[in-house]
Amino acid sequence: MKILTKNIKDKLSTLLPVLPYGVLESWDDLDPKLYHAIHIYWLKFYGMWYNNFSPFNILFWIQIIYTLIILWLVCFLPGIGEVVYLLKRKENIGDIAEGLYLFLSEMYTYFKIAVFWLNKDKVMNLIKYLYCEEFKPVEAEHKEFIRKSIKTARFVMTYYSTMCVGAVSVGIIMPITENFDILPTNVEYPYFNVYTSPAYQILYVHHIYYKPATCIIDGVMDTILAAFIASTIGQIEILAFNLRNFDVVAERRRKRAINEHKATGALSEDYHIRTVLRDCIIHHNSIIRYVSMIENAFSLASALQFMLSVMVLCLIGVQFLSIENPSSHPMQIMWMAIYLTCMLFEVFILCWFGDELIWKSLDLRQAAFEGPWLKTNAATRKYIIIFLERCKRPLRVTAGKIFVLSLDTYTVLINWAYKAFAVMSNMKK
Amino acid sequence: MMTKVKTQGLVTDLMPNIKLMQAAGHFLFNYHSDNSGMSMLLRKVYSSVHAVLIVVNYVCMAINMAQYSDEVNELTANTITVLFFAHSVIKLLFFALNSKSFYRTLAIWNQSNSHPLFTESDARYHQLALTKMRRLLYCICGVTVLSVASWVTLTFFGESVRFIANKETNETMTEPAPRLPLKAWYPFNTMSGTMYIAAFALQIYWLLFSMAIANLLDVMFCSWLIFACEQLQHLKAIMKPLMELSASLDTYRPNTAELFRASSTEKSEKVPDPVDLDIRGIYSTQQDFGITLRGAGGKLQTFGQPTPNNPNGLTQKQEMLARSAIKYWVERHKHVVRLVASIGDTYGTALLFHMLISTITLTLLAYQATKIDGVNVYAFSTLGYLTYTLGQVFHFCIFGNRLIEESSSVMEAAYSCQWYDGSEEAKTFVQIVCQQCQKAMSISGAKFFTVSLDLFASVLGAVVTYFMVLVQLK
Repeated sequence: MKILTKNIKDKLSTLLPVLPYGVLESWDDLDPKLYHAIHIYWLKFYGMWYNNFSPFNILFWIQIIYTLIILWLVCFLPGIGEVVYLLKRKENIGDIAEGLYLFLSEMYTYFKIAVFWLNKDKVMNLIKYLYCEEFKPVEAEHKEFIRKSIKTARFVMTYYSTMCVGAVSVGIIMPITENFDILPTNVEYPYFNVYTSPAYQILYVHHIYYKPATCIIDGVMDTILAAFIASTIGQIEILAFNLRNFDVVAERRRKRAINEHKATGALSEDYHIRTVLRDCIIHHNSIIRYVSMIENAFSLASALQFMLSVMVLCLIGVQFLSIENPSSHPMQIMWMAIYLTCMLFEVFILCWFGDELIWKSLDLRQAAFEGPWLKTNAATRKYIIIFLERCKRPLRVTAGKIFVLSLDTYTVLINWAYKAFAVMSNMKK
Repeated sequence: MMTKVKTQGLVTDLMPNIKLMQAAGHFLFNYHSDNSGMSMLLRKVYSSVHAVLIVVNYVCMAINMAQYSDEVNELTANTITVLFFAHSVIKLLFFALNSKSFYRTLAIWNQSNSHPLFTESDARYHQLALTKMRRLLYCICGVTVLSVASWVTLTFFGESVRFIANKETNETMTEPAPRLPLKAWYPFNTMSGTMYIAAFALQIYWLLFSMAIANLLDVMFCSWLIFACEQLQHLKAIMKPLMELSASLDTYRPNTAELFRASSTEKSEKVPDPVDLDIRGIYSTQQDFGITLRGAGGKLQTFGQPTPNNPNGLTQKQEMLARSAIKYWVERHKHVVRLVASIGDTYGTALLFHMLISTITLTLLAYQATKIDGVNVYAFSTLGYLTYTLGQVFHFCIFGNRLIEESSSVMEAAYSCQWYDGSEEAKTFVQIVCQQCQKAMSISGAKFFTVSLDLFASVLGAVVTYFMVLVQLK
């Protein structure tokens, strides 16, 4: 945002409808739309967003046709090609293992989209919930926290997708270094030879289109959960601020009530402190409910993501070891290394945000203790006692109730991937 | 004609299970209507005959294992079978020795407290528990019968041989063996003829009864856990009305009448046992509430000025109701804790033995699994054993896990109801509930391990690790 100065923004204002919300618009109203604007933009670009038109509207059918065309181009066509390629080599299990990792990770993107469509109600409810009364920022400090969390959510999406597209472009320029012998993804089709002249060029262009498309869709699916968790973290920080400074917040409320000539302006300071704490508890309950909604919507996809990542990581490792003559295929080595980094990063994002949520919710306990409760009376302190009891149990997001999204789980997963890789590479010998 | 047995509490709910256990030969002699000396003697004879048959056949299998222990593959296969059925023998003995403990646990819920406003919620969750228990029983019975059927079917496929090690050349030879479901030593020749058919029939009976003995006891354990979980659900469900009742004592609320109407939207399934004399003495019928409520469309009729201590103008009876609601909740929670503790004491040791034997069995099965070389009888039988053993462990792990989750979510339910608008008494109550429910109620295997899905995951992880290591050693 700092890069685009006002002049440039004015010149680019004609591009407003085609850019994601929040790139050129100001963030002053802190609309919750800002969290997911980039994600929804890219999903709409590839026709993967929800179809909210009624079936009687012509736009409904136009969107369906567009979605089907894109699905055919980026999902089914390459998928069939990869399956045929793998089936032609089915005698050698080692070769299959090598080609399988790419097929698995690409097809899994579309599985994630399918689960996303299945959970349409839950995801729409989640997005709507962000507009609820308890989540609206009131004080200036609150607005700062929300701004920071919006920035995190958008930053993760932009940079992760850029990294993945960069990785994929290494794969795309690989055929150039290999003298146009191979395609970026090894595919074969049953009725024609892919290495002959017109078919090769057409497929190359198709691959240049579909590989970044799959990458970006995959990036959106991974980071959308991270964006929801980032919004939760923003709310938790607001709550922590309120708890640490509840006397200041109560005083501001009292002054505001007096300025607006409300009846509550005449009530004592104690009443306002009690109201602030009561609102904190209601806010806390909303956050808890929001986290359980997030878990409901994304649990299945995350659980399968974890299990698949373990498999893909070990297959990449096996493939890495099986490149003969490493010095003569530097591009291959680089492609493998970059792909491995991207896969590791994909799981890391989920686990890091889950871990951050756990730590921030544990921080709430500290925040409640650091507030000026010494100055209050016993009845007010009761609120803080019960709040502290609840905070003993941190807020966490689980994947399929088995894995908790945290850095501990990340360690366990990498461990298992390495074990599987060690066994498989031993078996290959 | 047998007169109906007067039973109450858990025994009524678990009657089908108990009857099946008695039929399968467990030493369960209570809960019959006719307790005369003759029928008791007959029942004891029945159970003893079953016990003797089961133990004798088990010993025959063990003799067979000792006889052919030279060849590794044969020894492994026989050991797995012997360990597999050790569960049944152990559970039979365990029940016989511990029956007092089982009877005590079954009798714990004979007297339960009640509160007029929460009766239908209680009945609803009780009915839910009953449905789940019945469904579990049918499911496990079906699985048992299916397993026996597939075992017997598998006997007719493949070669009926056993492996012998040739002492001179150290090779493995095969020798013809009787085509029976289980390899056992019998004093008579079972290769063919009437003796073969007799042995086959004996083994089918033995398979069915020994699997039934082991599985029915597990079903009883899981049914207890289901009951405890549904009671916890009931407690969570009445938390919100409880808060509102308590708030009506000292904060003005409109439409307090709604709170005191015992809703008749669901029919009460059974009349609650008359125990809690405090309440029963005052509220003899539900008409008591009806009288006060027939006001102007649900508004409370006040017969006096609302005092500062009584902003909603509650009558003395209603005030007593509101105050006793918290008492009901706490007493019921303590009752559930007592039930869970009793379940743990009764069945913990059996779980410990089960896990010990299952661990050894699964290790050997992992070794057997590395020798699978195609889709044949060997593969099916190994996978069958593996699935069944893991399934048994999963069965009680999942219910143990549910208990842990339910009991720890009570705290979350207490926090999420609107306690901040309640009375001081309600706030203290919520505080104490939150502190008490920090530690979840769990069942432990004689204090060695906790029964939860973590246990299942670690067992599964161990099997996969052994498999991976053994595959490399091949």
